[in-house]
Amino acid sequence: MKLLTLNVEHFRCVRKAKVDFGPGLNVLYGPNDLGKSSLAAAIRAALLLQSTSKESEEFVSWHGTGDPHIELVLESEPQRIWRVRKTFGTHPQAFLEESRDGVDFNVEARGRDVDGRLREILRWGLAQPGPKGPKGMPVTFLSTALLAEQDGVAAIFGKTLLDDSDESGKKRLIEALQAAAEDPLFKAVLNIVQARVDEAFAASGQRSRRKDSPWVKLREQIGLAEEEERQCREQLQKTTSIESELQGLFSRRLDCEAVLAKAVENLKTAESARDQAIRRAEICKRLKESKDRLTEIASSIKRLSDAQSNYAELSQAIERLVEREKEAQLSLTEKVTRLEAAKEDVRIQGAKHEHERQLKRSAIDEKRAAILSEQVTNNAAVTRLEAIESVAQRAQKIESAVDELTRRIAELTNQHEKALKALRDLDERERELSGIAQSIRGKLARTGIAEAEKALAQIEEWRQESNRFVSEAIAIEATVDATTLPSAEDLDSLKELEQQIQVARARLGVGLHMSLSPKRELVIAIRRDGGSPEALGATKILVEANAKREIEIDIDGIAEIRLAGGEETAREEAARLQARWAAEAEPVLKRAGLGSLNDVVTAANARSKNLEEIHRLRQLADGRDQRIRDQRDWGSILAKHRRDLETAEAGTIEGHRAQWEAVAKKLKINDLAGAEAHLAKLSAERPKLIDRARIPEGELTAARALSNEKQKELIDAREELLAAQSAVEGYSEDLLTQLVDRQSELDGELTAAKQELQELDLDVDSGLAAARGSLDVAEKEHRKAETAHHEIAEELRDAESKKATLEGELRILGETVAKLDEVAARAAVVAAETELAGAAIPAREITDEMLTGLKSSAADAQRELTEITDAIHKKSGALQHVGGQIAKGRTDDAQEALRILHEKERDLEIDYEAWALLRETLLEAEQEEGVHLGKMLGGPIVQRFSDLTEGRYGTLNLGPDLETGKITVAGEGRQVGALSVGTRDQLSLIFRLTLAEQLKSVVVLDDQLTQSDSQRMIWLRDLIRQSAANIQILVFTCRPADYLSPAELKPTKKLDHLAMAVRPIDLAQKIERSAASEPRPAGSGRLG
Amino acid sequence: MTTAEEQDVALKILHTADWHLGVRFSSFGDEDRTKLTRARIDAVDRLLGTAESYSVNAVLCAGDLFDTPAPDEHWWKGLAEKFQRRNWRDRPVFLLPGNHDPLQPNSVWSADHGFRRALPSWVHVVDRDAYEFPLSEEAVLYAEPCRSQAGSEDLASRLPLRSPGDQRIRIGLVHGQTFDIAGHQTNFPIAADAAQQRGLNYLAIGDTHGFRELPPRNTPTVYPGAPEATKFGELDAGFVAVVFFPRQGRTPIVQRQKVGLWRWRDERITSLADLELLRAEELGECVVRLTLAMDVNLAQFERIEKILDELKGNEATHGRAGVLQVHRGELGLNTGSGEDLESGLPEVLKSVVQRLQARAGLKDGAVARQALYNLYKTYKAVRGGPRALPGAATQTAGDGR
Repeated sequence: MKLLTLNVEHFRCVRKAKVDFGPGLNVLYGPNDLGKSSLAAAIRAALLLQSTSKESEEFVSWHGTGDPHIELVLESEPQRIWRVRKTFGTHPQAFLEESRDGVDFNVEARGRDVDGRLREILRWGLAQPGPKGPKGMPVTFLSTALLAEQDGVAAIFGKTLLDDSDESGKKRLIEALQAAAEDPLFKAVLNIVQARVDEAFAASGQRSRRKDSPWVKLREQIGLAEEEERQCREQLQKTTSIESELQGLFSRRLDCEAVLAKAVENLKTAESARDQAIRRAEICKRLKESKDRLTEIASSIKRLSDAQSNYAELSQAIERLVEREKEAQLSLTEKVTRLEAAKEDVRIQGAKHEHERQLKRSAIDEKRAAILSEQVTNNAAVTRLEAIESVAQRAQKIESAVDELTRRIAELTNQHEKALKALRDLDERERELSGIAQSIRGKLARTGIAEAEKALAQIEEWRQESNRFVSEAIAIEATVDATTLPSAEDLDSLKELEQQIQVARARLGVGLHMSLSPKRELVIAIRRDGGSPEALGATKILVEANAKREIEIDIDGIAEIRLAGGEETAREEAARLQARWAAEAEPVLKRAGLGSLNDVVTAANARSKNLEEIHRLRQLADGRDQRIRDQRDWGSILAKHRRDLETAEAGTIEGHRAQWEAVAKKLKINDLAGAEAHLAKLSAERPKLIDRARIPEGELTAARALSNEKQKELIDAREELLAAQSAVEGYSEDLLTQLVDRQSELDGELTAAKQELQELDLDVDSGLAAARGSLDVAEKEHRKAETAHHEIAEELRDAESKKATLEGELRILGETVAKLDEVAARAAVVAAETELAGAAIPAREITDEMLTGLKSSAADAQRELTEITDAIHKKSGALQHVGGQIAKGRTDDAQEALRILHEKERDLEIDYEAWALLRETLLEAEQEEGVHLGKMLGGPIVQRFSDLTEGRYGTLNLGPDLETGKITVAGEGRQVGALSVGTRDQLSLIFRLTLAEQLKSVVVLDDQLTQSDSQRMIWLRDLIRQSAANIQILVFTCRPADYLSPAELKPTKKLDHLAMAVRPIDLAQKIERSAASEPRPAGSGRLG
Repeated sequence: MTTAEEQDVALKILHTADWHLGVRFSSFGDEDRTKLTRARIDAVDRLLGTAESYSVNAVLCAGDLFDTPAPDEHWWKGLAEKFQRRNWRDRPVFLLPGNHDPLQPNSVWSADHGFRRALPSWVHVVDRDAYEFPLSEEAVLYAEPCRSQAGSEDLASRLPLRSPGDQRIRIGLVHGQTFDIAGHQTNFPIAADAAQQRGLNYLAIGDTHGFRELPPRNTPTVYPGAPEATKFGELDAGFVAVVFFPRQGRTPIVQRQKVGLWRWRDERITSLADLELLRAEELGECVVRLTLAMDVNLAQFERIEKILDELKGNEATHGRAGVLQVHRGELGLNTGSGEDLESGLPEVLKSVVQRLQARAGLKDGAVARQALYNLYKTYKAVRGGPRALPGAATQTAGDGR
C-alpha cells in the first residue's frame, strides 16, 4: 500500500496543505511548529478515526475558521486506488471512493460505513466499528508499527498482536510472511496434492459433481450395477419363490391324492348301507299307510256324529240373536232424536250473545276516541310550554355571565396601571447604569493604548534581529556556493579509491636493484618510483640504482628502459586504479581548484561548518520570525482602544458623571463587568415587566368585547321569551302542571275502557260453552247406540254363515262314511308286517347328511387335486418366464460385479481421502510453522541490528505474536527498555521497516532518529534508502540533511530523476498556516 | 485312431454347447469386457476349424449358443458370417435352443429373424418339438428344444424310444441338467439314465460349462462345456467333444479337444516375491484375479503399484496380463516409524510425516497410511528420484531390482 496525495484544511494550526507523495522515500521537512506532526496526525485520522469520534475535537482549527477536513488518496494494490474524505467537527462527514485510474472515482461507502470498509482494506487488526468497538483513535500493533506518533517511535516494543481488536492484522502478517518463506519444494508438493484433491473434491470439500469427477463415473457404474442387481435379485426371488411354491404344490398333490382315495372308499361303504336302510324304510312306510287308513275310517264315523250335534246348538243361538237385534234398533232411533234437539239449542244461544257483544263494543270504542283526541291537544300545549321554559333558563345564564365579566374588567384595569408604573422606574435605572459603564470603558481604553504601544516596539526590535541573522547567513552562503566540492558519498568513494591505489602500489613495491655497465660513453638519466629524473650525464662506468617498485632509465638517443616490480595482475590492478583516479578524482580536484584529496576533505569540513552556521543563523531568524508571528495584531488592538476611548468620551456631560459616580458608589460598582452585570440584570427584568403590563391589557380588551357580546345575547333571549309566552293562549306559570295532571286522568279512563271490552268477551264465551256441552253428550250417546246395534247384527250374520257350512259338511261326511271298506284295510296291515320281518338290517345307520358329507369330502378332495394340478401348471409356466437357474446365475454375476465396484469405490475413497488428508496436513503444518511470527521476522531484524551495532547485540526474542522479549547483550538477555534511547529508537526503526517491507506497506517515520549519532545515522539512512526501493517511506523531520544530500535538498533540474526514488518535500511551501492573529484556544491540542 | 479304425467309423460328429455369445461380463471394465466377448466369437472359428480338421459328418450345438434369446445384432450377424464363410453342404450343423436362448416368438430362432435368414442351408435350427433328422442311412438325430428359460420337464424323456429292430445309430440332442436324485428340478432335468431308457447311442447335452462325460460308456451322455470359460472357477472349460461312432453298435469313442485360448486364474498373492514370480509368467491371454494379502512397507508398496501398472497397462502401453482384476482389501501398508521417510525432508514436511504417522497407527489409519504413501510418491516425483528419501530408496534397492 502507498499514499498518493494528502489534502488537509482547517486542521489544528494548518489552514491548508496539499502534498503529493512519491513511491519511495519522501522526506517531508520543515522547521519546528510548522505543522509536520499535524500532517502525520491527519494521515492517522483519515485511516483510523471515525469522523464522529470525540477524539476529533483535538483537530479543530485553532482559529475557528472551519471544520477540519482531510482528503487522502492511497493505492492498496496496483490499480486499486481509494480516496478517503473525512470532515470532523460540527458537521462530520466521511466518504470512501474507489478508482482504477486515480481519475474517475466511484463512491464505495459513506458515513459510518467508511471506517468499516477501510478496516477491511487495511487489515491492520482493527475490529469493525460498532457499539462494542474501540473508542477514540484506534491503536493496533500494525497501526503503531506503520504510523507511530512522534512521541511513540518505540511504542512498538510495548505492543503485541494479541492486543488487536480482531485477527486481521495477524492473518495478514502470517500470509505475507508465509508467502515470503514458502519453500519451493513444499509448494511443488502441495500443488501436486492439491491437483489430486481437485480431481475429486469441490472447493467446498464436497465430492466433486463435475462430469470428469472419478466419483461421478464410478457412481454411475454403481447405480447401473445396483439396478441390474436389484432386477436380478427380484427375478431370483420370484424364481425361488415359485420353486418353493412348486415344491409345496407337489407335496400337497401327493397328500391330496391319498385323501381322495380314502374318501371314495368311505362313500362306497356308506352307499351300500344306505340301500339296505331304504328297502326297510319302504316296507315300514307301507305298513304305516295301512294302519293309518284303518284309523282314518274310525275317525270319519266319529266326525259325522259330532257335526250333527253342533248343527242343533247353532240353530238355537241364531234365534236368540234375532231378538236382541230388534231391541238395539229401538234404542238407536231415540238417541238420534235427542241429538237434533241439542244442535238447535246451540245455534240459538250463539246468535243471541253475538248481538249483545256488538252493541257494547261500539259504546266503548267511541269513548276511547274522545280520550285520544284530548291527549293529542294536551301534548302540543306541553311541548310549547317546555320551549318557553328553555328560553327562560338561557336568558338567566347569560345574565350571570355578564355580571362576572364586569367584575373581571375592573380587576384587570387595576393590574395594568401597576405594571406601567414599574416600567417607568426601570427606564430611569437603566439610564444611570449605562452612564456608569461608559465612564469605565474610557478608563480601560486608555490603559490598552499604553500596552499596545509597548508591544509594537518589542516586535520591531525582533524584526531587526531576524533581518540581521538572515543577512549573516546569506553572506556565508555566498562563500559556500562558490566552491564546487564533491558530495559526501563521492568523497568517500574517492577516499576509498585513493586507499586502493596506495594498497596497489604497495603490492608493486617488491624492491628493485638495477646495474648498467656501458660499453661506451652514454648519457644516462634515471627516475625511481615515479620520482624526479636524476641526470647522470655522460658516463662509461657502472651505474647502479635501487628502487621500491619502478626504475626508468633514459639512455639519450638509444633507448628508454622501464623496470617495474610486482606480478602482472598487481600491475594491471594498479594501472586500472590509476586510470580510475585520472577519470574520477582528478576532474574533481580540478573543479575544486585543490591539489589533493586531503585539501578537498579540509574544504568539505569547512563547508560543513559553514552550513551548520547557516543553519544555526536561519534557525535563530526563524525563531524571531516565529515570535513575531506568534504575537497578536498589536496595531489593530491600538486602533481599537483609541476608537473605544473616543466613543466613551463623546456626549458625556460633567454633571451627569458626578451623579453616575454617586450611584456607582451606592451600588458598589468598581468595573465594567459589574456595571454590565447590573445592566444585564435590568435587561432581563424588562421583558418580564413588559409582559406583566401586556397580559392584563390583552385580557382587558378581550373581557370588554365578550361582555358586550353577552349583553347583546341577553336582550335577544329576553325578546324570544316574551314572544313565546304571548303565543300560548291563557298562559300562566301553573298551566303546564294542569296539563300534565289532565293527561294522567285521560290515561286512566282509556285503561278502564279496554278492561270493559275484555270482560264483555268473557261473558259471551261462557254462555255458548254450556250449550255446546249438552250437544257433546247427545253426540256420544248416539255413537254408543249405533255401535251396539252394529255388533249384534254382525254376530247374527256369522251364526247364519256357520250354520250353512255345517249343513254342507254334514252332507259330505254322510256320503264318505257310506263308502269306507274297513276289512280290506286290516288285511293290508298284516301283509306289510310280514314283509318287514324278512328284510336285512344295515350294519349302521347312514343318514342323508352322512352320505352327503362323504360325497362332498370326495368331491372336495377331487377339486383340490384339480386346483393343485392347475397351480402346478401355472407355476411351471411362470417359472419358464422368470428364468430359473438363469436368474440365479445372473444374480450371482450382478452381485459379483456390484461387489467389485464397491471395492473399487472403497479403494478410490481411501486414495482420494488420503490425498485430502495429505493436503489438510500439509496446510496445517505450514500454518503452524508459519504462525510463529517471531521466528519468521526475528532473523532479518537481528541481522540488520547486528550490522548497525557491529555485532554488539545478539538475538532478539520475538514471541509468536511479535511480543518483544529480551535482547542478548554480551551473552546476557536484557529488556529492550534497558537500551539507550537512541539505540532503542534505531532498533524500533529496523523493526518497523522490516515489518513494512514484509507487508509491502507505507511506513510513516515522524522524527524517529533524533537521538542517533552521525555514524549510525549514515548507516540508517542507507537502510531507509534501501528499503525505499521496495516500499514507500514518509519521513517527517526538521533535519532534512540527516536524510538528504545537499544536492537532493536543493534539487536542480538535473536531479529531477531522483523524484522516483527520493522525494524531498519542503513543507514550508506546502503548508499554509492559519493566521496567528488570535491566541491559541486552551486545550486545542499539541503544537505541530 | 488308426486308418482301419477310421474306416470302421460309421459317423463322426463334433459336439459343442454353451457359447454364450453376448454374455456381458459385468464384473469387468469396458476394455476387458470387449476382449472377453471377442474371445467367445473367436472360439467359434476355432471349433469350426476343428470340425473341418476332423472331417466330422455333423456339428451338434447343444444349446445356450447365445446368452439371451434376443441378442444384439452384432452377435448373431457375427455368427452367421462365420457360417457363411464355409461351404459345408455335406456337414450339417444343428443349432439347439437352450434355456438361455429358448425357442420363443421374437427370439433369434424365429423363422423370420434376420439370423435365420442369414444362415446357410446346411445350418439347421431345432425349431420344433420331436425334431428328427437322418444323418445318414445308419444314423439319426432326435432333438427337443427348450421353449422357456426354466422347466421341470425332462426333455430327454420326449425323445422316441428305439423301435424293435432299429439298428441305426441313434443320437439324442437336448439341453438341461442331469440329476441323480429324485425330487423336483426346474432346470430342465435330464434323467441320468435317459440315454439307456430311450435307446440312444449318444446323448449330446449342454448346460454345464466344464467338459463332463457321464456313464455308462456304451451309451455316453456328454457335456462338452463352453469353448471359452465365462467366469472364474469353471473347471475343464474350453473344449469340444469329437465323437466317433464305430459300426456294429460298438461303444462310441469320445475325444476331448481343446479349442479355448483364455485361462482364468484366481491368484492369492501373499508376498512380493510371489507377485514378482507371477509377473514373470506369460499372462497375455489370461484373465487374472489378483487378491493381494500381505503387509508391505512404502517401497514395497510402490513396487507393487509398479508391477500392477505393468500388468494392467495404461494409455501408452498394453498390459502384460490379458485382463487383470485386483483386490486390495487385504493389502496392508506398514509405514514403520516414519523416521526413514523423514530424513532429508524440509522441516515442514517432516512435521507432515509425523502428523500422518500419528494417525497411521490408529485403528482406522488406512487413510493416513495411504496419505503417507501419496506423500512419498509425490515427493519423489518432485525431487526426480529415490535419492530424495534415502531410507525409502534403500528399501527399494533391497528388493533386488
